[in-house]
Amino acid sequence: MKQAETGKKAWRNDAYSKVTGQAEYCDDLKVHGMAHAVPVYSSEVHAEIISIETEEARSFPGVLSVITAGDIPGEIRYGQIYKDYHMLADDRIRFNGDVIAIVVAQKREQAVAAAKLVRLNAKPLPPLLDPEEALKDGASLVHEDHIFEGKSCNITNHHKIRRGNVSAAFKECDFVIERKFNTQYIEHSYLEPESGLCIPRYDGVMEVMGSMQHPFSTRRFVAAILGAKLSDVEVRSVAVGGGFGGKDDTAALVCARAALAAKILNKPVKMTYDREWSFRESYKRHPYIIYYKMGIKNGKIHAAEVKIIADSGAYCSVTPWVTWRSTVQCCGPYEVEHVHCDTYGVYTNNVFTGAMRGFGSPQLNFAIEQLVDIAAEKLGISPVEFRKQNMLRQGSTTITGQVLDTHTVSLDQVFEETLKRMDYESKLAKCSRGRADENSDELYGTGLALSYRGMSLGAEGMDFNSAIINVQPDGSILLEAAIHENGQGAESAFILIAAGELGTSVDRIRYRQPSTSNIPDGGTTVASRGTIMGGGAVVTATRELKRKLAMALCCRLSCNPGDIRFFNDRIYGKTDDVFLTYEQAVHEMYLQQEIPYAFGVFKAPKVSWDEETGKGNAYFTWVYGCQAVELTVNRKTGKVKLLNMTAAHEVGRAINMPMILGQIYGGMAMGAGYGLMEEVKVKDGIIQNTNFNTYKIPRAADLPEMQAIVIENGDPLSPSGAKGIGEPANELMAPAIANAVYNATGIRYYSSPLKITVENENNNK
Amino acid sequence: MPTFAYVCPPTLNDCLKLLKENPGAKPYAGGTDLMVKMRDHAVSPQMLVDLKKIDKLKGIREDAEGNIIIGALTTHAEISESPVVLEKYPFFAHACRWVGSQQIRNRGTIGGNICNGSPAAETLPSLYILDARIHLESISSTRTLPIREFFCGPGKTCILPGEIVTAVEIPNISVEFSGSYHRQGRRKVVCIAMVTAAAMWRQDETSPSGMRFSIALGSVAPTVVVAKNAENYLNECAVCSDDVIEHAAMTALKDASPISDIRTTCDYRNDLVYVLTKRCLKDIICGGRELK
Repeated sequence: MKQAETGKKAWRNDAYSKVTGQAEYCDDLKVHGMAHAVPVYSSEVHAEIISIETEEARSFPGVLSVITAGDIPGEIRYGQIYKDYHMLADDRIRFNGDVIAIVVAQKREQAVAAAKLVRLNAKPLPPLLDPEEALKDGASLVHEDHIFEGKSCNITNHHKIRRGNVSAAFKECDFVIERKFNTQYIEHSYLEPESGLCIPRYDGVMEVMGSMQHPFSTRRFVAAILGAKLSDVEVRSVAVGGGFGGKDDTAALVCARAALAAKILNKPVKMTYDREWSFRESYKRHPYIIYYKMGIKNGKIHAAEVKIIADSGAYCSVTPWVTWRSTVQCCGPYEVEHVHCDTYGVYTNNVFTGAMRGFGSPQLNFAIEQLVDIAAEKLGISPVEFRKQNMLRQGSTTITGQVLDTHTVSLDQVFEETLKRMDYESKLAKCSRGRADENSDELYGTGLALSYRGMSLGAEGMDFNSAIINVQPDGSILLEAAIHENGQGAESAFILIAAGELGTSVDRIRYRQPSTSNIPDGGTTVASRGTIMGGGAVVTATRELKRKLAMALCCRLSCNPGDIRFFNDRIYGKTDDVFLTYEQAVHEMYLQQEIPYAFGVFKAPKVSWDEETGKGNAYFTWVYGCQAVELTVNRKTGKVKLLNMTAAHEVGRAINMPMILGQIYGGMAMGAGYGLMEEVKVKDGIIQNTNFNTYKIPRAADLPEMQAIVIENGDPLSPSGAKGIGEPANELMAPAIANAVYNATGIRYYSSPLKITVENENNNK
Repeated sequence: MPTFAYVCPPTLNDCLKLLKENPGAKPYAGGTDLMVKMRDHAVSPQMLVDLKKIDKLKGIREDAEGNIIIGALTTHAEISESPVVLEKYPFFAHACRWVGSQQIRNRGTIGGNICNGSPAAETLPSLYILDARIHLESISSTRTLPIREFFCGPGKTCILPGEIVTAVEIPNISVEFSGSYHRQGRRKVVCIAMVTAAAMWRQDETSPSGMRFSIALGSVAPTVVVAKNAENYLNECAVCSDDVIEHAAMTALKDASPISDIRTTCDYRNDLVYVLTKRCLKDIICGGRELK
């Protein structure tokens, strides 16, 4: 029997189906009579639509329909925060990825061919592409009806922190560092592009399957476009090939458009994006402009003044939430007495931006962790020492006034473990700092970065989740939770948590993928909240089930309900010779007309936030991480060779250790891409690299040996003890690399990805 | 993907006949470039003539004079693992290993790589310095062209309608020689090079140093280019000191006319021309045997 252990062995409930290729992703599905829909784009970036001519496309062989905004029976505009996204463009083109029509045909090839025949008559307008220009008074408006704080402007949101008195504090400082940082657009690069299959069902329900990470968000988009009630749309799960935060708005829009076509034609419609469409239309990680002023007094970070401008692109998506996290975490894991932060999200005519693994922290960490190294150097002390003098410890107060005393603050632990494993300080002494050995062009450097991260949504939204556990007549167990499996292993984690609570084998438990019609909306699978929130709900449900079983079985087991124990895949009375198998137990329950079924809810503990002062207990718990890197930089070519990447992360309690290691390795790899090579190149509002031949992500051959250290401090506020690892693992490697490159070359790079200048002074003559 | 006719003739003669009779036909070897171009509508052949049944176009053989003849359908994987290529021209085998991914190397062919005519093609700089000869055949004629005369622009070759490349010949080098190939991409694998460089010397008593140099650069001009200025400079020097190598690498910049594109900038390409040329020269002068 496989013990329900949370230990070392790799275990996934979906491993076999995925390794053997049996898992069915949305585009694998075929339904009788299914038609195919494709999007139609225009060459415009910003333009007023005069007319959309569809006649020629309609008469193309096999074409069933060409649908434009006028055909939408429900809402044309929708969005997670502001309803500003035109699901099909009606008045204006606001970015190059706007969809002006969808073509539906019997065959996908026919739809693709006919899409080229749709003609747009439009009056081009000057595009607004610079977020700083967009912030100015008198800038043209991306959304003419958008009002923020009582006036028409391009600002989507403004978050503030007002702590202490910054201007007075800077005067007290020994020195002040002022720097500007820029970060780039990046693409999530999920393996599977967006896809949706919608089936109008005989009972009047629109059934939706698709590649998404938030079925409930998809349901809202679909219901909105159809003008239907939420109960008339059922979103079912299929295998998903990755999300990284990127399978929300665009994934939902693809399903909504497929549903619109299915409704109009009254037949099943599939819409699968190719990579170019996905690159062109899907939201990216926000590029940030960060103006940072850091004041140091007596070796401590005394004051920080931060201005953050986040390019939201043509639509708002979740920009206010992403930038809220940046605001809360704008000083990194350090105690700072005086903080003044202004964060703006801004509309432009660029590709829109939204959630991506890290959610506002990778940009800020890129700035903060370099500034901390700069400050240490100015002080003439080691960056290790400087961090130790400033970092958050047990009982510390964050910049929003939250006292960290409800969980173990393990920042020093992750830091010390990384230093020890890397032998960091002796390696730091060996850095080239711009001077290579005589016979070598390779410059050696090492660098690290530290972070803390608020778990789950915090004060940005409602935060709760539910789970259902349902024991079948033969003793087998069905488990489901309102967290979505995107490929990260959520289902396996829940099975392991339930098996641990019930003392059963994992083989006894089958995970049932819920639909939006049978489990309550548990929020989106983002914010590294799957394990902590879904797992919390699973624990609550299993405890409720155990209570029900104990009440019903105590007579049969001749003991009090409180004496009943669950282990060894059985249910025991007071002594080990008195027990029932699950099959016997269920039989007994049925005789008593009791259903061995439980519904569990985990509500996140209370958090708080004041929009005006930026004070509050922003998140109910936090995680801590440290990542370090060793590398060489070739001074003639600027080529960076990674030698070793090491990470230490605190995860609460580890549920599925190999999956945690996978998250850490993958997070470091993705972070290395952010620091060194990935960049969505935009020219005049048009994305230049729309496939992986020109958008480079690191491959195995580019990555060095990686070491991961997992630190466990079970969290008292998390029912399972677990916290999260998805995003913490991906917010540190870019600044660690920037620091290492500085230590190698003696040159600071304030923009990501690092574009390293080379030494060949004479050669361009 | 547009519709097209597909034929798979059993003999070279059938194939050449089909190509002659159907001006809209294109020969199809590995398809690793062609399929992508067809998907993007960059080319729209009415007929694909699959060459895969023509065994005559496959494999690597060495003739009695020591010339190596590589059939046009030979894959990059086969060349990079070929004992005879590895023994005589290891830098060329090495260059073939840089092409795409293992899957692409298993499918893509040397003939296809040449006919695709990309200035970034991994195989070309080495073939330039080896003075390779391209064998062409049509239903009515056969001819051989030096590789340096084969290209007339990016993606443009001197192939006439109805003609196909049947083989690439690397003429035997009867004197001592040493060659090297370097390239740089954004990452280590599955990555088109930003700049490629190959350099070679062969024993030549008429030149002051006893060595005659050839250098070819890729991805720095509309076609692969011969670095004539750098070659001339080296061929006039009596000794190949570090300073001479340095100056030669710098001189190579005069032979390159790179542009900025999605892969990198013009300036960085210039930097790479210098660095990669220098690496090649260092390899063959320090690594190779000095003659005098």
